[in-house]
Amino acid sequence: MVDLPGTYGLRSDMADEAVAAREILSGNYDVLLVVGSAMSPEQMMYLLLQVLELGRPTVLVLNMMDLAGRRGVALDAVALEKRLGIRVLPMSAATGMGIGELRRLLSDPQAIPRGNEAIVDYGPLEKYIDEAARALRSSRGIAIAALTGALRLPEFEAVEEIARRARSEVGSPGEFIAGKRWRAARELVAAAFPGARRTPLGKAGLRAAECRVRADSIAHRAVRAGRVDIHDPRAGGRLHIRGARLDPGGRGRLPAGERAGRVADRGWDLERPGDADLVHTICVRGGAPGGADRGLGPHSQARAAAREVAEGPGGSLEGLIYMMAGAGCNIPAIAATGAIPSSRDRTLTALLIPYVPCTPRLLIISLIAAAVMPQLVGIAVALPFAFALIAVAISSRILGSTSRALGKPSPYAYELPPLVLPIHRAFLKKVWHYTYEFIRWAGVLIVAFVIIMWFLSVSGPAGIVGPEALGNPELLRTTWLGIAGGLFSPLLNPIGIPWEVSAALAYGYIFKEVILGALVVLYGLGEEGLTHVLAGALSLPSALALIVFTTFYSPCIATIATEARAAGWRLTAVNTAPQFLLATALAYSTYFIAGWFA
Amino acid sequence: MKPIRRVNDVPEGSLVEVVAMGSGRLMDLGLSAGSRLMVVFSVPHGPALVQMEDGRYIVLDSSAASALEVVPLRVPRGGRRWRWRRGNPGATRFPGEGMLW
Repeated sequence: MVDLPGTYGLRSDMADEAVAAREILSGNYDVLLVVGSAMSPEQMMYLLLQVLELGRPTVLVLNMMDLAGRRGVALDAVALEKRLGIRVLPMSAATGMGIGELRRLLSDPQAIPRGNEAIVDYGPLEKYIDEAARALRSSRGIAIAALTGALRLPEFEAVEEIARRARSEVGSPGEFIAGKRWRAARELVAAAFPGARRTPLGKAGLRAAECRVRADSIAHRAVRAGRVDIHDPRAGGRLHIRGARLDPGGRGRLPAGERAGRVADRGWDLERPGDADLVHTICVRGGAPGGADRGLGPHSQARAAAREVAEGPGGSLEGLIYMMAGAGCNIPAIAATGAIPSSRDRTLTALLIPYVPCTPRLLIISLIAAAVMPQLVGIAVALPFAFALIAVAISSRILGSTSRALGKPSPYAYELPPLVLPIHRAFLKKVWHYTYEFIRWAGVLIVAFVIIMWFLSVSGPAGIVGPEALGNPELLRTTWLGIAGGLFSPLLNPIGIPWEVSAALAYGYIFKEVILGALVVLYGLGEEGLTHVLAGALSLPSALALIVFTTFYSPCIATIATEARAAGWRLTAVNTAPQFLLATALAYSTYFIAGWFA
Repeated sequence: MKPIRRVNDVPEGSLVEVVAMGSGRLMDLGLSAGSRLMVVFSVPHGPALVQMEDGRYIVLDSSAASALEVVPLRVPRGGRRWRWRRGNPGATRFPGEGMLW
């Protein structure tokens, strides 16, 4: 039994729904169970109609029947079964109602019927669907998927000519078919679910003033706007104005720069009253810079600017919330990105969170600031966030525009389900599941890397140095970790950062928290003397450069591993290496700029 | 004359008509060109919550809301958005702002 991701239709717009669509359309199964909510029957019916067109044995399971019943929704299962030609099982997973019947049904899959394939009449498209089904030797559902482009397979090229003719007849087959299916779904729901009627929009709202426009002003306005879009919902989305060039979406468009005279030449006889009556809604979109944003208030303009920064070429404004959470600890923030529906936004956000300085980094930054510029500690602590914002903006743009692995942006929308209080058992189970997952992955990684780093800090090329290396700076320099820390030294020494600090930063790969402890050990001090030593060891430009470097240089190993789990090792490597280079470049820039002013 | 707006750029409480959806997913949710929606909640350039004619509510993320082009049919006077600007007759500072003429 395979549990597929939930989906609204057999379309491959989103990664998870594409998995469901591919599996359902493959037909590689004995029985398909469509599990829908009785609280939202229209959406479930829309999906079911598509599944039935595939001609595979199908069972409809209507879950949450107990809640639907309490809200006065009844189900005429017999009438629905008759119309659909399949078994309809009312069920409640919470109470166990109907589960026994489902088990009995699945014990004999050969007896499960295929259902009525042709519930929806697609009118003018029927002949093309039949033609495509014959050409592909497939079901009606596969033929429709090929004609609408809902699924793209190499073998669908055989019906490209049929799809072209279908487009010429109805404009957009996808939109046409979706409209027909929705009409059929609503009719079925109305007949089978007495009492499921929702509160529709008020009649007063639907009688609201329509956008009727005097046609004699259109040509004049088209000149001012640069281009004109015309849309007539009454004509099924197509506007029948003589000479208008229409795209499949039913919107005539003039390229920018057209003049009124040219409009007339093209036969846009909009000044004729008869033609004007055809126009239900006339919409003119401006060609001026700013487009639809023009004229909005400063609040909106500020959001637009924030969106530009946060999204780059296709990221997510919602990702900012996760980045803010990353200011506490990057690991849970990255783990939480799993809740972002778009795979592109999810991956991009997981890759950007390590740029946000976590609390342990802020502790180190505060210490440096307190040592070198005690009167400016507040500003010094805020500075990393300003730098992080810049780094996030730069990285999101570079990653978003260059990395194909991120995929395309996919707008996300869903039907808001009725508000139902969660069952406490299911809620606790889910909380435990996610907590356990986090502890298991992060905990195992942290313990493993602590052991590895401990081993590296008590052994060196000469063999085991012993735990006394942790209390002796000279011995510590001979360990693997001391040597690795020394590798940072040539990099940071030119900007006035001493060896001890460089080595302590290398310890930060275990946890950022251990940097302070490492500094104490390396300088052979008590914690109270650390501020004094750093004040003597660092100049103001070096301290600022160190703050910048500490803000951005690679996150701890556990964060990198969590990032790799969310975004993959390849993207993590691609992201982490430039992050280190960016930290170094910004540290050097800060050092020289501060030195120039100092 | 009504301008095309993104659904998250019209004030809450507006009645709008869909012009272009920008995503096939919205077709699967029952929207089509010509559908009428009530904007229940909208954040400029952010997500939106709309109610369809059959009463269902649809949640749109920032990308989906920014791609959903609508024509406002009715905009409530004194819309809740930007109320701090006194004398605002809706989403704009003066009648016609945001339009090209």
